[in-house]
Amino acid sequence: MIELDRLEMTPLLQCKNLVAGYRIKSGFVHAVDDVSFDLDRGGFLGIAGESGCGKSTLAYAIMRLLKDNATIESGSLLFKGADLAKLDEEQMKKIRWVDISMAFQSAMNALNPVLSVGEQLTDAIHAHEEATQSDARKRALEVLKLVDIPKDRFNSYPHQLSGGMKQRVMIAMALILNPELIIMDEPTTALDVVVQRTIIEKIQELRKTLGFSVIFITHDLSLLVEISDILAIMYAGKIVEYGASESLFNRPLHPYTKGLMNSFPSLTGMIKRMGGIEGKPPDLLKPPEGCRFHPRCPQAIPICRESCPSLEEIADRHSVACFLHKGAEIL
Amino acid sequence: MLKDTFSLFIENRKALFGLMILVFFSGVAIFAPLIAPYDPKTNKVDVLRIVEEEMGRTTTVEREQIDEFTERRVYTQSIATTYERVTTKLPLNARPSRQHLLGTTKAGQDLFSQMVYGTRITLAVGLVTGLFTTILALTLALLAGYFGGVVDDIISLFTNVFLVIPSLPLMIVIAAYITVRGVIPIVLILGLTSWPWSTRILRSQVVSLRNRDFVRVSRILGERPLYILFREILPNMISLVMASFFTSTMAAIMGEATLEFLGLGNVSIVSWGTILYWAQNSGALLSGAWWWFLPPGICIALIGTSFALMNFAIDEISNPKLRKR
Repeated sequence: MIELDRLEMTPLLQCKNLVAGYRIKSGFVHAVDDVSFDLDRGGFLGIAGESGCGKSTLAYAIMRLLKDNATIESGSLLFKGADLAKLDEEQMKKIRWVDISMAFQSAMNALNPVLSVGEQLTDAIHAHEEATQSDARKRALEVLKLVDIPKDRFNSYPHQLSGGMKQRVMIAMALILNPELIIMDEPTTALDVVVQRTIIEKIQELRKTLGFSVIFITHDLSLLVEISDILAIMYAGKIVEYGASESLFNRPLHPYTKGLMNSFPSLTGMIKRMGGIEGKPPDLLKPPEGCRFHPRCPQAIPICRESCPSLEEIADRHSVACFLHKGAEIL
Repeated sequence: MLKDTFSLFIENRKALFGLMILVFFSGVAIFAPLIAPYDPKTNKVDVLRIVEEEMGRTTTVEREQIDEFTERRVYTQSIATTYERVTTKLPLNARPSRQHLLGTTKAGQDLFSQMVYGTRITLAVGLVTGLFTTILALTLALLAGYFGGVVDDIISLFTNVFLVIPSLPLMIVIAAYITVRGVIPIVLILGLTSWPWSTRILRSQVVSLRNRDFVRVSRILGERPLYILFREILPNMISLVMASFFTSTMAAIMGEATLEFLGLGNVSIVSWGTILYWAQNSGALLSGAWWWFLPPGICIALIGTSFALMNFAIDEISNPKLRKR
C-alpha cells in the first residue's frame, strides 16, 4: 500500500539536467541546455517559446527520435522509473506509442493520402500488438468515437476530411494504444481559432476521462496559459521560468516572460499599446556569455553579462532564472 | 480493390479505349493460328487430299487342313490410295485483295498472316521486357531510396554510368556479340539497357516519400521497414510505377522493332520488326509497297496509344483524390 502511494507520488516524467543538441561541423548547437522539469500523472505541461528555442528538440529528445546528428549529451529522463535517455532502440520501441505517443503539427501531411483513416489506425495497433482484424477495427472505431468522428468516416481518405477532422484523427491515433503521456507538438497551429478551440476542449475532456498526461508545445502563449497546469517558458534552449500557469500569468517574473505576455492583447483588461521584445533569438552555436537573454533584456544589470542565472524557486511552484529575482522578494 | 480497379477502367472512356486496343491485340496473338489464313513463312499453299481409295481383291494364298474338323486359310487383300497435292504459288508483291487482305511480300508470303503471327512475338517481348525492366528498376529504386547511404551511392553510381552510355549503340553492340539468336537474348538486351531511366525516376520519388511526415509517423509508430516500404511508400507511387511499366513496354516494343529492323535479331522469326526488316531489305519503300511497311508501323503506334490511354485510369486508381465519389 505504501509502495503504491509512493508510486502515485513520483512524477510520471522527470527530466533532469537534460542537454541535447545538434553536432554540426562548426560545433555543438545547444538546442536543449540543462533543462529540468517534472510532470505529474494526469498533468498538463505547456512549453512555450519562440521558433528555434529548442522546444521541439526537447519533445523529440523525450521520444528519443532525434535525427542523425542530434544527440542527448547528458541528463536523464525518468519515465516510470526507467531512464529514457539510456534505453536502447529496441526497448524504446516498446515504450514509444504504447506509453508515450505524439500528435504532430501537420496532420495534413502526417496521414498517408492513399490509405483510409481506418486502415491507418488499425496499422498502428498491428505495429505493436498481435490483434485480430476485427479487434483492431473495434478499437479504431472506439477512438474515432472519442474524438467525435462518425463511424462512417472509417473508410474515408484523408483528403475527404477537413483540417480539424484530420487533426482529431491524429489525436485518435495518439490515443489508440492508451498511452500515459501524449506529447503534442503544436497540434493546433495550422488551424483557425474556432477549430483550435474545439480541439483543445476535446483534448481537455479526454484527459479528464482517460487520465493521460500531456506535454503541449506551442509558441502560442495565450493558448497555453488557458489550458495548462504548469507552464515552462523556454528561451535559447533553457527554461527561464517555470510554474503554475495561473501564477505565471498573473505575476510573470522573468523579463522575457513579461515581454511575451505583453505581446498579446487581453480581452478583458484595458486596451494598451502592445509591447514586443527587441532583437532576435541568439545563435545557439555560440550563445551569449552570461544570461542568454541579456542582449535583449530591458532590465539587464552588469552581472547578467558575466554569469548565467539558474532556475530558483521564488514562490510555491514558481521558479525563475533571473538575477533580478534571486532573493528579490526579500529585498 | 480489384473490382474497383476494373470498374474504374470501364468508367473511364479513355482507359476503356486503351484497354480495348490491348485486348484486341492480345486476342489476335492468342488465336493467331485460327485467324491467320496462311502460313506466315511460306510462299505457297499446299493442298493435300485423297482422290481415290480402292479396295483390292481378296485372294486366298494358303489353305491347310489341320485335322478332321479344323481348316486354316490365309488371305491377302490389297488397298490402293491415290493422293492429290495441289501447290498454288502465292502472287509476289501483290496489292491488298480479297485473298490477301494486306497483300504479299516480294517473296510471296501473306502479309496479313505475318502481321497476325508477328503480334505474338512483339507483344510477348514488349510485356516481358516491360515487366522485367520495371521490377528491376523498382527493386533498385526502393533499395537505394529507402536505405540510402552506401547502398544508394553504389546503385546511383551504376545508374548514372548506364545513363551516360547511349542505349541504342549499346544494344546494337551487345546484340552483335551475342551468338544465340532468338527472343530471350532480345528481352535481356532490352531489359539491361532500359532500366536506368526508370530507376532514377522511381528512386527520387522514394526519397521524396521517405521524408514525408506520414512515413516519419509510421516509423515513429514502430512499423517495420519492409512494411513501411510496401504499405506506406509503394502505394503512393503506383501511378509512377505503372507509367514506368507502360513506358518501358513501349520502349521494348520499339527497341525490338529497331533491333530486328537492323537485322540484329533473328530474321527468320516473324515479328513486326522482321516484317519491317524484310520490307526495307526488298526495297518496299522504293517500290511503293505501302501495304508492307505501313501496317507494322500503325500497329506499333496503336499499342503505344493503348498504353498511354490506360495510364489515365491508373492515375485515378492509385490516387483516391482523383476518384469520383
